[in-house]
Amino acid sequence: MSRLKALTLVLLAAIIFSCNSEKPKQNDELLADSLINPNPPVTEMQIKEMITAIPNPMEMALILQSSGFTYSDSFINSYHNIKNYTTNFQKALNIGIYGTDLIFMNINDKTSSAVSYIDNIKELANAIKVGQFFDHKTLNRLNENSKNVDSVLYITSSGFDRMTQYLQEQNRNNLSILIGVGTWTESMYFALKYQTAKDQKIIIERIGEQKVVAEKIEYLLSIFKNNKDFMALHEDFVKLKKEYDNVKITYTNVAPTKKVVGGNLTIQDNSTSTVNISKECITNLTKIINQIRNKIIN
Amino acid sequence: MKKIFFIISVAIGLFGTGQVLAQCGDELLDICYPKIGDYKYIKSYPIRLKKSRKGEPPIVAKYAVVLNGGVKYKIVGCNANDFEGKLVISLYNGDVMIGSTYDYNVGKEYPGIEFECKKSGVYYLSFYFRDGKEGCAICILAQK
Repeated sequence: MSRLKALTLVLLAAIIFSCNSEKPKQNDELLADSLINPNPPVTEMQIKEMITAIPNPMEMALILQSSGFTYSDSFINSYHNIKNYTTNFQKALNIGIYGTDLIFMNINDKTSSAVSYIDNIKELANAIKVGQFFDHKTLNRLNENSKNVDSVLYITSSGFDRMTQYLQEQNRNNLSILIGVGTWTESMYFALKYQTAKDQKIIIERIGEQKVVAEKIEYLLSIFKNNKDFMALHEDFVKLKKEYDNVKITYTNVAPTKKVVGGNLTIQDNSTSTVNISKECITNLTKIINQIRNKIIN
Repeated sequence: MKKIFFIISVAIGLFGTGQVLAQCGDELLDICYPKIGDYKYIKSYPIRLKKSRKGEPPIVAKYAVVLNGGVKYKIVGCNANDFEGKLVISLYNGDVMIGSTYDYNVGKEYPGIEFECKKSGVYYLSFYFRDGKEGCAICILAQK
């Protein structure tokens, strides 16, 4: 019996100490804002692996740029809208929206309003206790490198990476997912303005290829759908996923060719993928993405 | 009673390792960034793994990554000096490994992988430290 008591004590102590090490006090304050983790059926590690699959907005921005996409300030979310974001749910989503806008502004050399967007990101990030990734040091680095677009993009993107990695380390995956949903939705919103580009075919293909990402996001949101805000967003992504079912992607797998160039291992892919997406499907995707974005930013 | 405290200490050690694994890679990222050269930064993966148990294979971390056809990627890694472990990065298409920064057959190490992607889709990046040693490293994915 005394052994049983000792074992119970050990397990109790282990659980208490384990929980304390993974959930710092500041999380409890944030959880009060109806962002409670409802005991997801998958492990934190599995969630983390899926979150990393959400593309960085830089990828879409670079494709749009190389396709002759014409950027317009009317595409981005107004920085005045920040006043609408009162819950941590809205704040996390709009960190992703503003972060993507910032990247698109920088890549298109439209840096005049960038400071307001950085301020907004910092304010929203402070509210969810991750403002340290856009601190004075970071802002100074951005100012010092303002003429070097690559450096600015690196500082911005790596700041976002550090912020989401930190949230994952703190087991605040719900917020990390929302930032990813914000960045992806805004990237898609830009991509669906493809009519302004010279080479539209590549953008349409890229929109179709996002099917795999939409499926992952729908699954990630389903994990937290016990929360009413997550549930509403999840329902929108179910609609999006259903529309994406009309996109057909066919693959051919062929062994790659490898060689060593300049010390690096260079791999030439010999596999291919073909995207089949109809005009009707693009129209429907545009409607759904616009609806999701409007709900996020307003 | 001493025994109980000993068991509690061991249990805390076992269950409380999450905190030890956190906060790695911040400075490494800036140090490693120049290695991508004229490629553009896309994403980073901080890797912090414990030493594997004797006789067991190295601990592996694996992440899904969506790569796009028509894009050239560069994948580089940098190790923290304070740890013995040397990072090995491998790129997978499903279960098939298409390249690795370390070729066991010839004992050759590569500083990075350049991948000219033609098939868009979900790939996997897997990470481990050679000989299962404890390590801290950063991996950067960049594109042209």
